[in-house]
Amino acid sequence: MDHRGIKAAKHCLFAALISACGPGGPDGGGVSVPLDGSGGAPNGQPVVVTDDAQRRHEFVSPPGRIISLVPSATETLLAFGLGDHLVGRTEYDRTPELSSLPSVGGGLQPNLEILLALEPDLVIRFAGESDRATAERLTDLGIPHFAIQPDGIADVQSIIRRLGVITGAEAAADSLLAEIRSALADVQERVEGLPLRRVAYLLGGEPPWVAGPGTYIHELMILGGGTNVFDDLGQLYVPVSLEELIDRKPDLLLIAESGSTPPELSSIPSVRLPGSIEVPGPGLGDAAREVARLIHPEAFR
Amino acid sequence: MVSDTAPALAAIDLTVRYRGSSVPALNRVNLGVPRGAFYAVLGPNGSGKSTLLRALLGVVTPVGGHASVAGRRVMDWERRALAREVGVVPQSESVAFPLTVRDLVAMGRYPHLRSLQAETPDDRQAIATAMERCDIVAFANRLTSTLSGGEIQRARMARALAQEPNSLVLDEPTANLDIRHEMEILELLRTSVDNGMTVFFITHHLDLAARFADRILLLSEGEVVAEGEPSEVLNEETLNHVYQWPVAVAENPVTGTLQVTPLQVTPLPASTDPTPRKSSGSSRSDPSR
Amino acid sequence: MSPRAWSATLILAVIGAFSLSVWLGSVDLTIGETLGAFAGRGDARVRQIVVELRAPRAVLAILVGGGLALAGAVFQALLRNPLAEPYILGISGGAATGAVLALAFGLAVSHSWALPIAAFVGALLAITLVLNVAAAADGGVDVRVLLLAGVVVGAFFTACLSFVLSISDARTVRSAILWMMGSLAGADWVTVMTVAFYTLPAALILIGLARPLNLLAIGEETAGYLGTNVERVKRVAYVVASLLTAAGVAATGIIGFVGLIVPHGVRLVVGADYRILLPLSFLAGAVFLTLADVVARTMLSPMEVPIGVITALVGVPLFLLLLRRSMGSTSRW
Repeated sequence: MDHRGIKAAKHCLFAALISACGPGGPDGGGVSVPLDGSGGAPNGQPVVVTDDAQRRHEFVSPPGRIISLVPSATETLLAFGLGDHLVGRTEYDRTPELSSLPSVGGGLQPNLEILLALEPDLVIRFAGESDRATAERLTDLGIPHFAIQPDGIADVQSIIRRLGVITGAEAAADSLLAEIRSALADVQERVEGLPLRRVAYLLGGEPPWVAGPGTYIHELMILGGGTNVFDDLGQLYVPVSLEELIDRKPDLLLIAESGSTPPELSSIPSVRLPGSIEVPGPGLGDAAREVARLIHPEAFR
Repeated sequence: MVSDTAPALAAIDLTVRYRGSSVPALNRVNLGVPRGAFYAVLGPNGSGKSTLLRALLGVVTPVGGHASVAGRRVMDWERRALAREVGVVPQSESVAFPLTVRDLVAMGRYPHLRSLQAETPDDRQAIATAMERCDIVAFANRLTSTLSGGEIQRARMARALAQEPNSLVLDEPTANLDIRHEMEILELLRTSVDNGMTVFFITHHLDLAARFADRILLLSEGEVVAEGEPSEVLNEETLNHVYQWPVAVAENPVTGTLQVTPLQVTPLPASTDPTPRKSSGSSRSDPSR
Repeated sequence: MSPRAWSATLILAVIGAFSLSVWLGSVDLTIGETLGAFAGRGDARVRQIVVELRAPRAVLAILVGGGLALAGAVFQALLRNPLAEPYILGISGGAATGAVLALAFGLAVSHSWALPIAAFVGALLAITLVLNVAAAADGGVDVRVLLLAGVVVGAFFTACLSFVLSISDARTVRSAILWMMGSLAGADWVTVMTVAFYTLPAALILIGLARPLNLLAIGEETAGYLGTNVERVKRVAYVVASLLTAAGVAATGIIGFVGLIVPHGVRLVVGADYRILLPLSFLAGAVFLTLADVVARTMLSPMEVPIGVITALVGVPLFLLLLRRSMGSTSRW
């Protein structure tokens, strides 16, 4: 792809992302009632939202006892100021405000007894997990569950939006989305016209696993004015040989928090990413900014 | 004491060939074991004695001819019925898991019992009697792994007796036994025969066969060489030929039965050996002398 | 203690283990609440926990633990090898490969039944393959060849499995590993009924083979002389014990040690007569797995320790203790 082609692609991507922030965005289904800024279902009308497992959910009133099995949803709800609506956490939620909540185990295959005993009126879970049994058991036990799939930038925004609708916190959701939009726009502006840097993201392992297109980090790379040297891979994360990595001549290596730079690649500049950036969530704006700063530090002086 | 006209065990033109072998293990063997007879089978190693036993009991399928038990083809017998008719004492067994002697003998009653049926008093009686007759009551609760070869042999014999069969088939049952136990077994067999049991007995002991058996079958290289009473079968010419070794046959002064003595072929170093020797000198004697 | 006394003790132990298993868990319940749940009284959530979550899990542990121990005892007789256990003939490799393929192709996402069915099909494939290799031209099964074929087929499936995992994404790998470590967490009443459908008739058939299996232990030839249809017994024992194992593995993943240790332990105490060994192995296996599951669920609550870890960590010392005691006394082994 030549320089102009890439630029065009970036514009399209950015436009798509921005438009995802608006009302009635691509969230897989409609919100059937127009929003007002006050939060809560207006006129006592039930709110219908579709989740990422293509199921429609009807909410008569905002749920007050929520258990989120997905970290990005948990963060989002905390960002909405709804921490007191959470009645349980997973083992991986270690922030101080959550530590007093009872744990239900892992995000996948949570401890159903504890979950049940906490009497949630909504459980937020991963969609498309490799094990559907948990979803079915939750249904059998009569616990309402909402599936989300926070894979990329657009997904995150859609989730923020829908969570806002469900919990009646549309105002908070909109303001969060506006922040994100402005952060993304800022990044876009700063890296505009700068030459693209060739970047690769290494998850770790021997041989190293790298990120391909369709991953969150890939989108951040593109947004940040870089090009992923592995944008021709068919899968999300793939192991590649060191030779291949060197052959593709990356200018910068982004290393996962838990990974390390292979010694053979020590001549290539590399940076370790803080863990908070790697997981799609409401901190999207900061993540985009950070990645862009690493790719084009000159744009952030 | 023939109680039935059909022979207890019979072979008609029986031919057995093992896979991969060009030479038959048994070649057109004909024999009939009369009911109530004490029938011994002799022959050199590899002559087909064990194969004959297996073929008679339907374990090995012949390529020609057939075997029959009590007048019926062995392949037509239902297995459990056959086990109630014929008790077998094999030459060797390997027990995979430790077992008490009593449990081993009790297996002789399995052909009489349905799948999960418990032992009846009759069964217990048969087991006890068998163990007494084989002199192993003292070992009843010992594990088979702690017994000597001879003791286990007696336990297997007891198992076969516990089956209360009409015929007993034994493959070298006295191989590991001392004089006392060997004689006890043979006298036990002789008594059983006198009471109507048929005994089919494979052995290497020519003298014992001569002493206890009513009829002898002599096998060599899968074929019947001779069959008949001991005096007919055990003659020097036949034995020299079959065993490829010079022997002398004489009457045992104590028992009055035939006794076979293998002769010395290689000369002893010239010394004080006073034993009279017959026809020594030649280093390889001509068996067909 | 006589076999009859042992039977009674173990039956009581099964009832006891079941009771513990429905009473204890991540959520504390009083005995009254537990009993009340069965009677339909009390808080709806408590009823759900006891009747929908814990009870089916306890019953599944009884069925699978009993089935694995029974299958282990049968394989030990069939292969005449004290180291035999249900997975030695490639069943676990086949089942794991089936399960991992289902996970890798995302089949488990659309239908939660895909995973157990794929595992079962994989196990069946292994069973059929091994039987075909081991069956001689005349249809007889040579148990030495069976053992070798089983080990080799198992190794082949393990290689396939590793290959699939090496090209799969991280989520699939994680789910696969969790499945392979074994867990009773997915137990619901439908699963329990399905497993019971296989386990109960299989158990009855195998217990009915007790005498022929006793005879196999002293050798196939002698067994034949004592009236056993040796080839038929071998085939039936192999197929039924394998299906029993496959049903368990499909439902719970691969739970090790139960099929090896429980029959040995029972043998050390009551001897090698399969008419006693088989039913007692079933009961002992049921108790063992149920109690192991209680530990697995409560030890590090809310996390669950994989049950295969508990069966090994608890089972091995227990077995060694039994072994030492028996060597001191009448050396039943």
